[in-house]
Amino acid sequence: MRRSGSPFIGTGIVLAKEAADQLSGIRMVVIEALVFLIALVLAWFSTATIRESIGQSPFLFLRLLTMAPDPIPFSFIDTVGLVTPVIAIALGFDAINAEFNQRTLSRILAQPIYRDALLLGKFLARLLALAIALLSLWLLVLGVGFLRLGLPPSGEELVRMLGFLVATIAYGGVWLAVAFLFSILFRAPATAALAALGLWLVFSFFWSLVIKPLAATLIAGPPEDIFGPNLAYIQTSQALDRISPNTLYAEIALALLQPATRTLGPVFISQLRGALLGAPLPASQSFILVWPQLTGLIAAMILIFAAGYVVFQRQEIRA
Amino acid sequence: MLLRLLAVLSLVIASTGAGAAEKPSGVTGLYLTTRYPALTVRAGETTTIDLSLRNFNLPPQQLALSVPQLANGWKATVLGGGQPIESAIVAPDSEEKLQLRLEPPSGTGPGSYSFLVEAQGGGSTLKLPITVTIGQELPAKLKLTTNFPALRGTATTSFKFKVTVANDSGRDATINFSADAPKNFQVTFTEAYGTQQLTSIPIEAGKSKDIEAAVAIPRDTPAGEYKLALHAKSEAASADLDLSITIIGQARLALAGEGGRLSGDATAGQDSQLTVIAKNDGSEAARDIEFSATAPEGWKTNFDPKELPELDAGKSQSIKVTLTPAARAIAGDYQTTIRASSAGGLSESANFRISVLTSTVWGAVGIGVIAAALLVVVFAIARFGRR
Repeated sequence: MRRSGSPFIGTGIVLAKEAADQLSGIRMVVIEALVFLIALVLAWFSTATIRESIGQSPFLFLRLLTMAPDPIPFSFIDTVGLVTPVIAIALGFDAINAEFNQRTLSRILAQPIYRDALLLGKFLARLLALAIALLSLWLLVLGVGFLRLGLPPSGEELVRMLGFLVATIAYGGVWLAVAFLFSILFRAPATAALAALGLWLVFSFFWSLVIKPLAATLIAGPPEDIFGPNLAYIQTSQALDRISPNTLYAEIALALLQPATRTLGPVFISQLRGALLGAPLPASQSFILVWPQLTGLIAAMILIFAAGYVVFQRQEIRA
Repeated sequence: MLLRLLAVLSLVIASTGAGAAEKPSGVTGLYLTTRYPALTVRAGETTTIDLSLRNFNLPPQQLALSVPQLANGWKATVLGGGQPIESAIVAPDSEEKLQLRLEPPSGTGPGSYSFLVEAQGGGSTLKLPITVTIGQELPAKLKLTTNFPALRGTATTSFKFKVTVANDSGRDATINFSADAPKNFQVTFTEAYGTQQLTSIPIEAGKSKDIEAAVAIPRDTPAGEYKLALHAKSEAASADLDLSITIIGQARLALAGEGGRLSGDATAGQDSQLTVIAKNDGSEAARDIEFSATAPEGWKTNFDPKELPELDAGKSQSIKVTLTPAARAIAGDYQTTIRASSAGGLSESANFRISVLTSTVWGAVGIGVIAAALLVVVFAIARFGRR
């Protein structure tokens, strides 16, 4: 018998309840504490370095995010790129399997809501919690910047930083969807968490260093041939690199926060002839440059969620 | 001018030979001498005459010095070692050098004036008469000359006349320079081979100096011949020098964007228009002007019109430039040089900063990717939903 009506009736209720659980839980307190620590320490040292060394720059606030301040070897975007997946995985790894283990899932589904609404509500609530954490991180850095530099960001800088925030949420969303998928696939939360963290570890550390060069060499030959760099190798390795959400996110951050970035792919010398290097691109052009990466991240988040959805719908829940 | 030579030489005591010899054997006595006892000086000047007091073969003698005979109003001082003295002691076989300073009263006219210098002591009196003649002064006269009184060049040439100023008068003079030149011509005087501008210089009597008169003219001066006159003036005399400058016409091109802008936007792979204004701000028409551009590789440029047969002086013409960046051009700023060259080797260029924008077509594709992902979700719901 085919059921009728919107599959998403009750999504709002699930979202509200889940969001309340997430935001008031001890997990959120820990995440927020982490966020505050990162934001304050990095913004403080960055502004100190800027005040000491940079007299004038049209993109002072962007420098705040891209520079590696003196005693710390990472910049703000490096740190956010590292911490965001961990927060996302922490939020998502026990979304479904915890309900299984506490035997509450069948009780929830006894209510007049579809599984669709439950899954979407849970996902959106976690995405909301993630967005709140990242937004507060972003606002903190902006505030410390205001306070310590004594001047407001320009409109262009604000637009670029907003784009960076959206990209960070999308990037976190991808990892949230991955953790969500694993929480559906594995009944033990620890297994789901380990699987998600393992995947994150692969993309963060091993993908660009080990897997990508190997695969690219197998597909397109050695990186250098007798005529110099092998273009096919460069293109293949870049295509492989862009499978990793970390690479996509790093490229977005680079192009948006360093306005002089003109391209993210290989460039021929002939394309640079006559170019005035170092001139910043207008924000709209930078957005066009990262549009494929940004849309790719958002689409990946939706597709991974869709995969989790299909698996969840086909699962036996009676327990 | 006349020189009345007064025989001076020895006076008194030893009446024998004249006493200019260094160490004549057998000469004994005291002598007061001077080399030129009669001389001509310029009016109003203080004269210093060298005197010499000698002692041959006598014990040291103290001699009192005085000038008993003095022309009316003159002031005479005997100086020894730079100071006024009244007496001197001359050692045996030695010479004492003295000076007689004669100051004339103001307004002394030409004529001869007699003086007598006396040295008394040792029971003898030495006398030395001196005659000073004040000559007639030369009339003041200035002369301005130049080797090249007519110069030729374009309106941007810097014209320089080398002028010699001679002070052919009997006294030093300070000479002022001025010039009569056409309106907006600027004449400046500098010392020859120097850079310091000047309005006057002192020149000694009978000497001459080289100066340089530089003429700066407005760049838009029409072709033609222009006369100018230099004047040199001292207190008593003046001199003039007529000069001429022939200016030949010259075309000069200037390129600028519309409203002075030197930047423009273009989209990769698409035609975009840029308006360039070519202006002739020279003094003659420019002929056969051709336009060209140096653009980044793979760009196309087109001019409308591509050539101008003639552009009159002071006229401007707007040129439509069609720029087509390479289809695969990377977004950002590029430099394009637009050049205008005309007959006579004239060339002018302007650098334009072109901001290349990229097409937003791929943005729509990105939206499409998200839409496709959402479609997958919709399909999944349709297939598996509502359970």
